Amino acid sequence: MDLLFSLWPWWLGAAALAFVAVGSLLVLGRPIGVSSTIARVLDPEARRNERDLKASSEDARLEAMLAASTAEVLTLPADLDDSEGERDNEGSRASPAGTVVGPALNWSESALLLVGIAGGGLLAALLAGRFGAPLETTAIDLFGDGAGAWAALFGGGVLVGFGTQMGGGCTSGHGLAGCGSFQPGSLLSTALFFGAAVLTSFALAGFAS
Amino acid sequence: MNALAVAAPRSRARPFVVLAFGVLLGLTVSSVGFTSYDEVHRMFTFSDLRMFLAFLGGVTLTSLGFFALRSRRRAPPRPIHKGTVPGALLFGVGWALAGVCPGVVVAQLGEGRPFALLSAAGIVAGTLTYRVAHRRLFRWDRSC
Repeated sequence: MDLLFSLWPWWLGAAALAFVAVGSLLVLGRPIGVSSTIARVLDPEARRNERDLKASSEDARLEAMLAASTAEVLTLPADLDDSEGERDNEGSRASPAGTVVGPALNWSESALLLVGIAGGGLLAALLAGRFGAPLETTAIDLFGDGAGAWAALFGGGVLVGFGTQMGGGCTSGHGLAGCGSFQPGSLLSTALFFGAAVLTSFALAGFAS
Repeated sequence: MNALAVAAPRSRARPFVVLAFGVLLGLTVSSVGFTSYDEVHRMFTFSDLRMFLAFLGGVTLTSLGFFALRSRRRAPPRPIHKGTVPGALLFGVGWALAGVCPGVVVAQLGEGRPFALLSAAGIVAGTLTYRVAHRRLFRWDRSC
């Protein structure tokens, strides 16, 4: 099957990305957003909250803590909250129309999602025969073979980590889910991060030549 | 509606569903070309529109799907806040430099590419640094 060995046509990528976004909203209750997932995995408090709750499953007060901890990424200050519903003890929020914004993944689920993404990359690379492939030539052309490339990868990563946390989302959260639901913060974010990436890429190409 | 309770919070199937979506996402970003610095650079310099179309097509199909689900499911609200503009700009510059966004670097690690550890370390460092910065300096909510 040629699709396993060559890059997918645009429409297949589009369908798969949408399947993940819509499917996760439908079945998990919330569309996937990777930057918040990474932040949660790196948050010892999120892990502690989940452990505390597993230790005592029949205490209603701790159940409420679970709801609070999984809902903490849902919590908006009153003036930013555009949904007017009550929060139930699942950490979900019901809006007046009866629809529900589902809770975020807990710590274990978040870790599992990242493992899954890595697994998907592994599968794709093995099927295409490109496991362990080296850094592509464009990066070498732009930054050279040594410290320059290392600085770009690490420094770029720092900006990605910092920027996605500051902006509250990345390509999956803002780009797919946020734009797909016409959220103003996401539409603006997506336009800006794509715009900044385009300008930076042109600048890098200009400096390299 | 009850069939969808299969992956409700605390259901037995939920972890498997989470894992499955993760695998599909990783498989997709890798197979479309988001894990390739060459392809990402081509996308951002408009040399090849394939990946842009994949993303835009994905957003379009997602919006149709979300619209179809609107009476039963709602994606979280994402208002514009003080971190929206600077955060997006920093993220975009970083993506162009490192060639990766958060989901993509995780897929790259799965692809077994050692240099991905560098960009991943950067993303971790940036994420943790922001947590400190937010606590000390910033006061806006970034819920997502």
